[in-house]
Parts: sequence; C-alpha cells; structure tokens
Amino acid sequence: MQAAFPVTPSGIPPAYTPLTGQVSTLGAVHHEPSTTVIDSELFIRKTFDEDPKKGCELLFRLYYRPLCTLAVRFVYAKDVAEDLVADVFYTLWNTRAYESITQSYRAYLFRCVQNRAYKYLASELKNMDSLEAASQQETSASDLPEPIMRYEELCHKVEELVAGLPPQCQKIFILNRFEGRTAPDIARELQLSVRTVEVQIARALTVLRHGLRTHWLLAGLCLLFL
Amino acid sequence: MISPINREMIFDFYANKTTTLQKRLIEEWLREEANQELYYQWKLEWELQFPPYVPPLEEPLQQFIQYMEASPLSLNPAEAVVNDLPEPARGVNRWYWLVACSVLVVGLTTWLMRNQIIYKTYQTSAGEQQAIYLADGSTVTLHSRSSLRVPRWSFGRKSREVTLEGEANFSVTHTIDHLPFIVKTARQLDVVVLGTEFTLSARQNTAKVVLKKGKVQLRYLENKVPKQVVMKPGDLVTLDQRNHADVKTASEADAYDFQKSRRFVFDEMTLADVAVLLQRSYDLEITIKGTELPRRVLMGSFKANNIDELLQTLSELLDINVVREGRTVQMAEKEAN
Repeated sequence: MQAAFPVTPSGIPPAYTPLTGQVSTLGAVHHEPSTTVIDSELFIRKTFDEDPKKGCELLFRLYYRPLCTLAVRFVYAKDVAEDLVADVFYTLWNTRAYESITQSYRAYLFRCVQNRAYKYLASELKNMDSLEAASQQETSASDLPEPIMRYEELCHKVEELVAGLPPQCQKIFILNRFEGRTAPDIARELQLSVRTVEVQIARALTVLRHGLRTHWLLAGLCLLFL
Repeated sequence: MISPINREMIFDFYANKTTTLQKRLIEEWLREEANQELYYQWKLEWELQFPPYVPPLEEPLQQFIQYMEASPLSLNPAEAVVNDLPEPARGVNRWYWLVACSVLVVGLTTWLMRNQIIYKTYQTSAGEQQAIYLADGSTVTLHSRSSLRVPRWSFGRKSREVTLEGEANFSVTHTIDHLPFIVKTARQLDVVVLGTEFTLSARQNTAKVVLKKGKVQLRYLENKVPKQVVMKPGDLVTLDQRNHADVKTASEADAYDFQKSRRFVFDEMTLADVAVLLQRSYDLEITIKGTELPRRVLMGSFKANNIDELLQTLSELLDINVVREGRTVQMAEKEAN
C-alpha cells in the first residue's frame, strides 16, 4: 500500500500525544479494552458537556488527519478525502449528533468516514443500483462485523487495482487523481502529449470502475444470500 | 477465552497481509462491541503511524471553527434529530429506530391483516359445500363459490352479524335475549332474523331470499333510500341489480332453483371423491360398484341444472350405468355385451 506514496511517520498531530499517554496508563490499570476506550475520550466528553463547539474543535484537531488518510485509501484523491471528512464534522455540528454518540467519538467518526467514502465511490462509479442495496443492508446490520470487513475489503481492492496498473498509467493516475493535478499540467511534467495523459487516466478509471463493479456485484450477491 | 487477535494481527489486516483464516478470526472477534472500539482505536494508531500523505490541519480547522461560529446550534433539538447520520445508526439512536420500526411494522401488519384478525372467513370453491356451526348454535350451509365472514371475538355477545358473499342456507337459533341475527351482504341488503330457517343468495347481479320458517326482515337500499320487507314463511324475495324487491310465494321448486345452472368443476377428482361431494351437497346415498370404477379420474367443468342432469353427464362421460331411486344412487360399469 505504502509503496505508491511517500510514507511520513511524522504526521502525528501534537494534540494527540498527551492522550496517547493517557490511553497507555489506563490500559495498564484496567486490561479491559472497553473502559480504556471510553476513558481515553473522557476529557472530550466533559468538554462537550460544557462547550460543544470546543468539543468539536478538539475532535477535529485529534481526528481530522487520520480520518483524511483513511478516506484517501478509498477515494484516492486528497481533495475529495478532505472534503468528505470536513463534511462529516460539519454534519456532526449541524445535527448535534455528538449528543447521541454512545460509543467513542473515534469509532463514530471512523464509521462515518468509511461509510461516506464507500457511498462516494459507489456514486462516482455510477454503480448505484447494486450499491444502494448494499448500503441499505448495512444500516440494518450495523452491529455485525460484515460492514467493517467490507470496508476493509473495498479499501484493499482499490489498492490492489491501483497497484495493478501499468507503471506509467499508475503514475499519471496518481498525479491526476490523488494529487488533483490537471492533464495538461501532468503532460508538461512528464513531457508527454495531453492526449496520452488523458488516455492513460481514462484507462486507469476504466480498470478501477470495472474492478470495483465486479467487486460490488460479488459483495451484493453475498448480501443477497446472507 | 484467549483470543489470538492482537494489535499486530489487526495491523497486518489493515495492510492486507492477513490470511483468509485470520480474517475469519477477526470477523468473529469483531462481533464483540468492545472489540469494535478497540478495532477503531488501533485503526487510528495505524493511520497515524502509516499515513499515505500528510493532510493539512490548520486551514481546515480554522474553516471549521468559522463555520461553527457562523451557524450556531439550533436551539430546537427536535430539528437537530433529523438524522443525517450517514453511518449505520448506532447506540441509543439505533434502538429508537429499531423500536419505531417494529411498532410501525406491527401496526401496519395489524392494520393490513385486520380483517383476518377480527373475522374468520369461510370460503367454498366451485362445487363445494361447507357446514358451519356458529358459536350461538346457528348453522350455516355455505354453497359453492361463497364466503361467509364471522367475527372471531364478539360474535354472539352483543350482536350476531355475519357477512355473506354468494349463497347459503341459514338455520338460526333464537337466543334468550332476543339478539337479532343479521346477515350483511355487499350489495346494501341486510337480512335481520330472530330465529328461523332461510336461504340467502347474494351474488353480483341478483339477490334472493327464501324463507322456510319463522320471520325475517330485509333491509336494503333502493336508490339510496332505505327500505324494509318483512317475509313470511314460503316467501321468495328477489332483488335485481338496482335492489328493486319482488316478493312472491316461493314454490318448493324455487328453493331448488338456487342450485340451478350450477357449474361443476372437477379437477382431477376420482369418482369416489365426486360421490362424497354429491352426497354432501344433495343428501344422496351413492354406491359405486367394483374396485376400478371409484378410482377413475374426472376432469373438466360440467354444466348441469340439477342433480339428474349431472348424473346423466357422468354416466355418458364415463360410459357407466347410473341409476337413481329416490335418495339412493348406484353407479356401475356397463355389462359387457
């Protein structure tokens, strides 16, 4: 997965560090994962009680970046991933969803982002019919591990499909989609014709679309038989 | 139970380095709610350790803060309940939904099934007759292609109301508290009874009532005007399509007329089955001679105005001898000449 990107382990937001410390100490005392998880967000929860705005800000500081990197594994575009995550936070604020979150905020936000990424991919690939059925199913089966497994499978599938692209095609695709650069821009940098770049982008998209559609059809079929 | 799942394995899973069997273990492990929490905690750690890129933070954060300041929370929480929750609704919310949905489903089912729940419906197919014993002691003989709807719970307590579609013989018992027995039909005709025997036929175009004993009152709507007719024993009342009533004294033959031009439909029935049917419908005693003959199969639809015509048809169709003497009928293979 990381082969395609520069790996930067320095991406840890400073705000997270003190909390990590808290997690480890509490974990040592309790040995029970659930209490540890709830407790690690106790501070945020208290903040929400006093000032929801502050609470949202804290969550944003803490989770925005990891959520973006999570989303980008699905959508393979920085700007899309960032918009998507920001939108989750805006919705959190608008609907006051934070008031009714009973598990950890972290689990909630991760689920939200995965779900949105999933839906985004579906609509992007114009595969609505089979996916709509899938997303309907997943609301009803929220507690089961299948959705989690499916998110993971989808994310791996995307990676697999991108990794399987011919080198040139893959490079152009990543510049275009992941970095969000235009075809003429890429053509200038790689000293290719705009037409070639466009063809390569189209080819990559076709491969992805086709691969994901098959993946989804299979997933959809599995759901039918569940 | 000791679970083999640990952080390393989950990290491998994120990196797609787990085997199918390990994935199965993880799936099993994820069924625990607490493990899902742990799963996302590790997911966060993993994302922080191996980010595919470093997203900007300060700029989107400032935008978010500005947004929150520009659109303060609506003071009405009800408005906020609009669930834009894109993810599988969880926790308290999910339970609300579950409860709301179940209530809705149960309510809807009850509403849709209300007729099946409140009423018990008896139905006969073509050529079938059914004797029904009601809770108040009354009996109803339901003729072919008819249905009778009887209240399941309240019948006989406050009122005795049934709904008839088609044709039936009623033998109504008289109750101590003079509770009227009312037969409703789909064509704005009600028969109100106080203990009697009568036959009612309420098909699409005409309705007929023949009274054998006692007294009945017909209530019907003619051109939307409520009307009443009180019948004496032996009376035959015919109502045409517009519910215009015609009262005449019925002869014995008219009582039989009800069975007139009946269609008999036999769907792969053996002659023995047919005999049972006719015995029930016409109060006949039918004997079939031989061992082969009762097993012969009949199929098709036959039109016969009365039982003799039907027996004639059967005789011709199967090429057998049918002899009727009063209530007894004998069927036998033709003697080979």
